[in-house]
Amino acid sequence: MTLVFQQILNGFVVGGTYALFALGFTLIFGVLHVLNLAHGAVFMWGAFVGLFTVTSLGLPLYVAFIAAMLAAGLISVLVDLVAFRPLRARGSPEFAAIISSIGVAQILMSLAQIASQTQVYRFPFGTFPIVFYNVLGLRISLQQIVIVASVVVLVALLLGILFATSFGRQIRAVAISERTAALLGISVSNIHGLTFFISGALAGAAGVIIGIAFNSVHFLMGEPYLLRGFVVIILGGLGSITGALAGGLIFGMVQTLSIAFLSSALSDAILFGMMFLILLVRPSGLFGALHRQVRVVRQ
Amino acid sequence: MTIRALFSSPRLAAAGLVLAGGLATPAAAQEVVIGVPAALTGQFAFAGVPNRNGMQIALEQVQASGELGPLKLKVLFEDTGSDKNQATTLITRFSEYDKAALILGPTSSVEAFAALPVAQKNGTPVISGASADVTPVGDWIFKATATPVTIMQALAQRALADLKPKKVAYVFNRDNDAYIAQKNGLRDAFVAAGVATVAEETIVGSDSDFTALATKLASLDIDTLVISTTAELSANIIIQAKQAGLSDKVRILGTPSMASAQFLKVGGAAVEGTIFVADYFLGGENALNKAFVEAYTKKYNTPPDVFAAIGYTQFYEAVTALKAAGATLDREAIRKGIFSIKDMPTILGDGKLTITEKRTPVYGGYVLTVKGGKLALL
Repeated sequence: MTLVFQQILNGFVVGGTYALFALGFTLIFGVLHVLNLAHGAVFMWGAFVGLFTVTSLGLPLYVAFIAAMLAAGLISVLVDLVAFRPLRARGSPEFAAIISSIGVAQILMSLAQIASQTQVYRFPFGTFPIVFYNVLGLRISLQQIVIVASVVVLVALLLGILFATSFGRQIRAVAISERTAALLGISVSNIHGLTFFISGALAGAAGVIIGIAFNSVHFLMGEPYLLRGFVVIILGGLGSITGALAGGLIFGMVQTLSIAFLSSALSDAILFGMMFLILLVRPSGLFGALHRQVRVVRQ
Repeated sequence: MTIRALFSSPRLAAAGLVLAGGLATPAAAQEVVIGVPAALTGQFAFAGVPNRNGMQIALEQVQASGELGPLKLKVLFEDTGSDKNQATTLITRFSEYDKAALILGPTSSVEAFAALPVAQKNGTPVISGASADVTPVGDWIFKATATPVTIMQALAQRALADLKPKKVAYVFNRDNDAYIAQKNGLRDAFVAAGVATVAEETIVGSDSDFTALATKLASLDIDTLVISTTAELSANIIIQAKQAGLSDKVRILGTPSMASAQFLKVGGAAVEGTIFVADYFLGGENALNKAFVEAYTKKYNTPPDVFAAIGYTQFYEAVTALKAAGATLDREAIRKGIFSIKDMPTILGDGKLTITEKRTPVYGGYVLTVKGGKLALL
């Protein structure tokens, strides 16, 4: 029985990291109604910046965390400037934006590959103390506690920005209708930039957390997370913050439990099957969206 | 036999190509084209880049030594991008357009299984560095290194004699044939000796989170854990399993991929005592190896790994075959030349490499462990 609870705990922590990744992903969809397929590459660069701050600059982990968030935020803004803004200005279909984000992702990954010489890196041993606590027979690491705490803090910050600041109000207004927001005097392009920055910063934080938790930083690390992040936001509902959180936790839990009690070979089949089922039964996901309308083409 | 059937026979088609392309007849300026489709970017670049570098060192040594006499080598290094389609395109180009006499590659088993049928169809001899047994593709395909099953035998015998495993769990990459074959090689030897298989768990190459798997492994009643995947993933699984409470009494066995600097770097203290088999050992005492290590380190500022050693060996297999082919130097003569390789001095295994009837080499293997953060002979 302890094993079941241990695995549920594992699933909860893993789910937290998925949720963190998916939050930034879903935020851009909620506001701009496009899928930013460069999100995985931004996440990967966040992890590399964090790693660089710790290894080459020798700075402590919390500085690395902040540096990674800032850098990934800026890279994300750059992605907007290069891949999305010119297309928006021309009124191109949203499909074009998806393709152009794939292009930027490839460029970002190639740059990382050159910079990292295709090697897999890890944060140096001792960057994060490996301490375990025994709570009611469960093995909980300090790392797991910090991961969950960081996810909670970041989500609280995001919700704070979205629902308690003027910026947040503007973001929500743009999400509902760009035209109305513009008529009300909101600079839509600034809001887009800000949204990309927040999304990138979340990805950067996720990059460092995941890089440390799973001992691995490399130029392809964003790809599996992008795919899973996609499932997570479809589960939760495209553009929905609550959906990304719930979707992340459900995804982590189902993945962990299927590896633990069924077979590791089956877990992906179960997860993608689950996505298929949700799409059939509830095409808009488990939770309504920040922007309820699900559109394929900009109207 | 109709004319059509005549030309669909690979060997005759190859002969046709030779005639049509005027390939390397002795008068043709004595130049031999060698095509190298290597994974220089993408997910297999960790192996493809050192593999290419190893060949480069061999090429420089061969050119400096003048051992091929007036014969000139034109080596075309091209990037497959770790993509099987691109590998297929390159092999088609090498064998049909560049009229390559020989192909050395591709890097991974995934690319090899997709691309090598083209070389087989065109009758171009291939010495592939891929770790899975790619020889069933056809009689023009040779393997540069011992098959996964052969190389794992050295470990199986040693483990059964010295470690006496009783209950074993296996973790392997389900998306890479080589790792599946290596796991099967060891498992079958263990099963034949009456060792119980407690669990077989799979992962995919892009995974990095093994929390659930690690907790499961830690809860199993086993004395031996076998991990068959890349160096980085092997190290990562070991770290996470130990963090999840895997007992230090559980012995960890692995594949040749562990015999790399990456494994030690990523794994740190957690991989101490891990036991694995290797085609290549950097600290190998043989003089050929010492010269290779020195040249490689000087040129690339990093010591060679197993993939570099394979590249180096692959290239010398090619050179030996060219010498044996004599003056004709057509594809069939080169194929025969590869078959004639016997006791070739090598930096792999016990220092002597022979190509068998099955188009795979034998050269023994090193059983290694990690001691004080370094690879050491067990």
